[in-house]
Amino acid sequence: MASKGNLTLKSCNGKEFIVEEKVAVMSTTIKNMVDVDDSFAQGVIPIIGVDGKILAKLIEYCKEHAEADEDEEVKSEEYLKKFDEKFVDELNLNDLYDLLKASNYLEITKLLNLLCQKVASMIKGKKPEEIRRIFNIKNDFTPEEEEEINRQNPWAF
Amino acid sequence: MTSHRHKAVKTTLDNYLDRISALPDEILIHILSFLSTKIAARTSVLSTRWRYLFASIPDIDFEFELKHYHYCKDKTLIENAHSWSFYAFIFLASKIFMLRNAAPIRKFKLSLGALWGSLVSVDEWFQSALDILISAALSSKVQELKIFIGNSNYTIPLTTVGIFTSKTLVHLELHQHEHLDLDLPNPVFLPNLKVLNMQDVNIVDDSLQRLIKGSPLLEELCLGFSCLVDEDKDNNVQVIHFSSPSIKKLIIQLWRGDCTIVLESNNLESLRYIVLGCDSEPQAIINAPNLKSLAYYAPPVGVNFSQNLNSLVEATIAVGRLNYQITSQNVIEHLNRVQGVKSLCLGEHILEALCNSQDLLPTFKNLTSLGLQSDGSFEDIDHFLYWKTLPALFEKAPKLEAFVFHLIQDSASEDMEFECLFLVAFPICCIKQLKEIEFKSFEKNEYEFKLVEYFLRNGTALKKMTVGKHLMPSVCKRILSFEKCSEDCQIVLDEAKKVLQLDL
Repeated sequence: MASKGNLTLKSCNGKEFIVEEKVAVMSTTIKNMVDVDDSFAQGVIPIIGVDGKILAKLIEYCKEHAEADEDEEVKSEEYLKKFDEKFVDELNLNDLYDLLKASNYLEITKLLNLLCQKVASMIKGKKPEEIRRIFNIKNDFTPEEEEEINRQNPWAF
Repeated sequence: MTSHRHKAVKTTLDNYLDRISALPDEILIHILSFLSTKIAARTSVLSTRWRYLFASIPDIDFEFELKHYHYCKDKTLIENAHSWSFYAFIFLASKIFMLRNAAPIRKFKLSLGALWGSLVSVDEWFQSALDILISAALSSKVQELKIFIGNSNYTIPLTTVGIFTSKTLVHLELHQHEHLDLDLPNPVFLPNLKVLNMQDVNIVDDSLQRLIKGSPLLEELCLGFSCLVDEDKDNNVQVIHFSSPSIKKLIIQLWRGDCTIVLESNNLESLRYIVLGCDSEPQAIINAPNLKSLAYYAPPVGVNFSQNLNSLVEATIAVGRLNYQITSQNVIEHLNRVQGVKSLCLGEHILEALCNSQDLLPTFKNLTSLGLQSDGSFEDIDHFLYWKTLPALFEKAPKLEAFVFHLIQDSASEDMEFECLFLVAFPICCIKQLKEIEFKSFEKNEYEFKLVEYFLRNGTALKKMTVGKHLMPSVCKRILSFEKCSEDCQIVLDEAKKVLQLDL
């Protein structure tokens, strides 16, 4: 186990971030790396496929949550809930997708759940046409196919 | 300049990319898992990429509710429409199982609404189609199984599909409309079951004992007995034994008095015992030497604790919905048992019964939090009578520092001179010892406002005043405008969410 110092995370476009270990290990992937190999704790950890902008976002999220885990008095559940809400509300769709992929790869479960829940809430209560428009989903069914799916599935429509 | 333009073009291009569909399956399925199965299934029409994704979500809930056809008078038409939608439901459900190809299911919920009973043509085919769904869930290694049947046309298959021999079930809930005859097969073996909840059950023979015995890891059992009387049964009192080395939390809800509950457990930590409207007294013999939390909503007679309750930390004592004459002696006996608790909550009728016997109250030497609760009785109650008992309780609880109002009945007479009532119930000397006051619910009655104001004005030692739930901004504003005599008193208000999200 590495000492409780700082870790350096390096994005795929070369930006380096120095973060406290407790923040970095919110990611199970990083935690496993540090646990297995001490040298990671001293050197630089490359975060493959995640650019500087997204990595900064991830760190912002992990920092709040790591601090909350440590001190419930200052960062209460209520505070975190508000932070989470604001965090996802401010994302544009592209950042949302990048963060989804990054949090999945880095296994930041809490964040992954939060983001997936956000996307789910954007799907909920909307007609297929609206969902397609919001997410730019190209409908590649023929009208006959689409009707067939609808017909087979009256329980859900 | 050029790079600027380049960027602009790229952004527009991005806007035309279907980036969400490019995400890996596991992320898309994770997204869909936050939706109900019904809504997730609707995404199958989005595009070929989404066609079968929904079928892989780990949690499946099949809620089938028939539509009302108010405008249609033709009975045959309605029946046909109902049969057709049920057929389509079964078709889709079976298809999901086929597409999953035995991928493990985490949670499975099957719920059939009450209207389903109007489906006249419930024949063997429908019955077995539903049985097959449950059986398919069980063979997909389901961990959490919940079945709610809102009518009596279909009976949960207790013996045939293997619910009670599942090696994977951790959480099981069964609720059959009106009654479920718990007549279990032999053997019963649920090696991983931790939580079991069954409502409206009739226990047949030794099924419950075998169930408890066959569930070595069972920690939480919630059992609601059926309110239906079995006409064929002789009038013998049924004796129901609960003895388990593993159960930590037990909830028993009784509707009838013709049974005796015998409970014996060294590991039981929490017991909720609720008796709702029976005509005769149920009997309970309870031996749980390590009980920490007791919620007792039942007549104060008819229960026998064969050990002292020294381990108890919190208790709620109320009477339930009964027309019993409660004597102060019964209540005092009851309170003597729980006198070691740190947190105590009393029903209105309990306090009322005490009003002339305050001298007999035991000393609650550990009590730090006292609560007041409506105890579910239909009878009206004289607030003046039972609030009058409070100062005596304060006096018997030297360490008391928190007072909690749970739901208070709103029949408190509005014309009453509030200040006068408050002064009797909570004399200034009593309030001075309070550090925390909480209103669990707040119905916006005038007397509630006055009460909050009264506490804030007189509570010199108050550190925290909590008022909930879902308060409107105007209510919050009024509470915050009250004068408070303790400067460092924190006022915590549970404000209603501004936008209520429609759950479609």
